[in-house]
Amino acid sequence: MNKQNHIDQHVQDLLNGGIDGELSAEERKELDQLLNSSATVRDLNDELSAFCSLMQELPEREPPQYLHNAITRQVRLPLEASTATGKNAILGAWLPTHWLRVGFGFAAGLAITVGVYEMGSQPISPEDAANMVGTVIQNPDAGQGTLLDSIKFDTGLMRGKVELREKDHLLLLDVRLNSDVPMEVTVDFAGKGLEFEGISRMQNQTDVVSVDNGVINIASNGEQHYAIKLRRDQDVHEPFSTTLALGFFANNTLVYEAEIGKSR
Amino acid sequence: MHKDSDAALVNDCKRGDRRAMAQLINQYERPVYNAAYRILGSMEDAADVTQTVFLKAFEHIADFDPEFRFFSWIYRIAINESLNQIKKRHHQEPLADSQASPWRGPEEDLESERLCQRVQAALMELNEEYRTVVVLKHITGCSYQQIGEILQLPEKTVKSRLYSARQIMKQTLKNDGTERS
Repeated sequence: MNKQNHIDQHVQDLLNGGIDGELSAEERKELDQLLNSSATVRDLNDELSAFCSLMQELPEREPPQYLHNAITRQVRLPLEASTATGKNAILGAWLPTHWLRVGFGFAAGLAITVGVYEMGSQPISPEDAANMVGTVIQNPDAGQGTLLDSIKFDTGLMRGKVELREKDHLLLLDVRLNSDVPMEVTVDFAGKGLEFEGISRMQNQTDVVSVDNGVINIASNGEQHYAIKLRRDQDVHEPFSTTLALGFFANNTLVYEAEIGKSR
Repeated sequence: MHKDSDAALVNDCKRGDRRAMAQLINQYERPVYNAAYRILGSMEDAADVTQTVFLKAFEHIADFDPEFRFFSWIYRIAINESLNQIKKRHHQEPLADSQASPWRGPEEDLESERLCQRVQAALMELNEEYRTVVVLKHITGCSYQQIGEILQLPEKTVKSRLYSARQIMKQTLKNDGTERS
């Protein structure tokens, strides 16, 4: 570092520029003269060259496989966005009656044991869990496993991130959501060879959960972080290769929908 | 970094052409991811940031001024998002490459991987101003003028930061016993 202190800004620029190929012919000539006449400049140039060649050897990292599809799936170009409102009808008709039935008030009174979800040794099938309503409990192991896919969104009303992970025979859907209004999230896993295993709650909200005919519904508000566990058929050994449909509703209106998983 | 072809693709995106959008993502996904990875030292955070970068870029594509270059715009978003990510995890230690990517390759490449990890660790020791300049120079291959455009800094400041950053990293690696003769 001592050498550096004695090198003025102009020489620093010449050294940098020489190594980065950004010198004019005149500057190149000046640097060559300096290199011939000064051992200090020569040493610095050698050190800098060695360092830069080391930096050039840093390997390029391969982005995760899911990333490209995750991005293209989520991007809405301006013209598309203005014509995409028709999608609101997909689950909108079903939700009002369903959520009237579920109701946020259940959260405090009906603490039906999502502990059951977590502690039961037997997986809960969609049929078993139909119409179950309850709060969820904490589970620190959620959010682990191999990352299969990830989506991020920001609709103005709500923003968040959902990750799909695989661990042994479990699929973990890690949901982080921050909303300004009460939100309803649906996860459709019907016909995917999956069983609902439980939900790990990571924050102290009074979320309301129901599972009905292969669709999980979670009503919540504010900042949320939870992991939905789905168990795969024990006989299946290949990686998960399908998608789960996600819907995000505010005031019974679909504000965002996405697919997560392997759509390739 | 093809100004004319990028500009044409951006115009097509503004008209809602998803193939043009996919082409731009193809072109910049890898450099954006690598830049984010080198700034953050974490593959998961880099993937996260890369998604955000493209979502934000295309969300505001209608506002993009064709007088500017698309690459400098996308890299600027990438740098800003990476720095935001650092702020978000302010209380956490930045992940070194060794933590983020346990080596699983052949034994003969292990030494080379260790060297990369030491270089990444030295990069992580730089402050954010220096780290971004080094990443834009050495990872994305930007010129001084392009770095200045992306970071909105005078070229003189870019050169000065780059020189200091290189000296600091060189010294860190020397102290660490990583020297190239």
